[in-house]
Amino acid sequence: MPFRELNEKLVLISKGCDMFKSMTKVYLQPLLVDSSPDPLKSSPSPLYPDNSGNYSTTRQLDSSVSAPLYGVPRVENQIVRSTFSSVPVISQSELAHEYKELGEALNEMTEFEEEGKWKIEPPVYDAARYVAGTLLANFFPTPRIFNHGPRSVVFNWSQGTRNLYLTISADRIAALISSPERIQRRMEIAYSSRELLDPSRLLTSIRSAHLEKPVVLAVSSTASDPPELVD
Amino acid sequence: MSEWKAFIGRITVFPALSASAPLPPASVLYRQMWGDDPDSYQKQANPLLPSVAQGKREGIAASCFALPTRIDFNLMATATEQTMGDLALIEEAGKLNAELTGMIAAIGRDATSVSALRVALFVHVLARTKGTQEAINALVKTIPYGLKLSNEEDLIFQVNRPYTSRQVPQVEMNSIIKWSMDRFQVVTISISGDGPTGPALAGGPSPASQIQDRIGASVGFDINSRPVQAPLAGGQQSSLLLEALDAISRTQREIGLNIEGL
Repeated sequence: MPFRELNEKLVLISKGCDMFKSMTKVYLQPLLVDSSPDPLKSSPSPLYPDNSGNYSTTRQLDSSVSAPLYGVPRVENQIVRSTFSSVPVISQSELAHEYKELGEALNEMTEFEEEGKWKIEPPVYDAARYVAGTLLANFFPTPRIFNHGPRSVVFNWSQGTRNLYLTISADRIAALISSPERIQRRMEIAYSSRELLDPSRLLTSIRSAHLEKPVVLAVSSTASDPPELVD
Repeated sequence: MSEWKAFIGRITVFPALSASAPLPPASVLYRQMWGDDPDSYQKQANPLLPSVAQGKREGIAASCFALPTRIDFNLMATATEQTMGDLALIEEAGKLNAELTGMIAAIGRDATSVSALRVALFVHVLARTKGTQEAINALVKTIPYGLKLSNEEDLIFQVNRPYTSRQVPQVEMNSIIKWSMDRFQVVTISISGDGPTGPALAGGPSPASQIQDRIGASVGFDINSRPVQAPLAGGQQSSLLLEALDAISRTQREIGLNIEGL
């Protein structure tokens, strides 16, 4: 089908300016010299990329990818890509860092020694990871996390005196919006429900209800373009 | 004249949230997808970071990144002694095509048994160029919209041509093409067995790293399904991906990239 016959969304960004010849987005991975036999046990490729879609890093390994490190010269190519000369957005990397801490807190909840009281059950952990991953992918502010016994964890956001609590269990999510005076809204959804087939939409609507205004997500890439994990 | 070559191929599966068993780690998914054990595996360092499995397929680097919300199966060129310090591209696009076709078939056989909400196919092709002007010229020749540019230094041009799948009725697909001029820094890092202060390569000087700047004209094809009302079975995922691969093959010829084998 010829291109011109279609009703398409066009995005064109071009720059005639001669000022910014140097790369503005250079992300180099820290190099860890690891004494373990498998060098790839160190940090993998970048994990939380900028979703504006205009940079990526890639690691190319030489043919000795599985060779032991000891005594063998090892060479790696790190490719850093920058599409254009825009100023990088720092908030997304901060968000990624905050979510990393959330992940660590989740991990700790699986490691409590006093089993049966605070240690969360594996299915709860899996569900909480999924929800947290979806929140991050949609640039939600990082929630606080509370332990609620072995069968659920609670994510919490505050907006003034209003609170949104997302209670994540093995088979359902419950959202509760409250003010100091009363519970304002409550919603409970089983994972088998259709609403959860697109969790990002569900979470957006929950947050919108919490804020009492439409949520405009700060997504800089096109909505139809799934963000890149690695490239 | 710039020569276009394949750089990266990627299949992404977006699993549904379910109360059933958790997703297997990347090492298991790698084995299910490619039938072999990976050369290396890294478990999740954090619940929100992926587990990673890496290996090689026909001289192409293969990797699997697994998160609860998405699984990426990547294919990309590997650096060789000849390409070290330069952008390594996949010289035989036919190999990439064959690998992607094989991966799609594996998904169709339910090898990975992932109930998905969305699937995506991404193919990135590049032409190495000597400078920005050559890159822009190479891109303009392949953008079928009569774009007129003069002394621009950066270019990003993206369109989405959504379509409804013929293979899986009711499924809407995004079909994104992104043209861009990319700057690459290729950082070559040498590590000797004696540690970072030892000789980097046998018989040579010992640079810790070398940086080469490269400019490339880049075209990315990103075809992905929009979230559906019911999870997609393996056969449906496979049909959507095969249709997407066919669309990419056809489009790259249509716009004049003419990458043989893709």
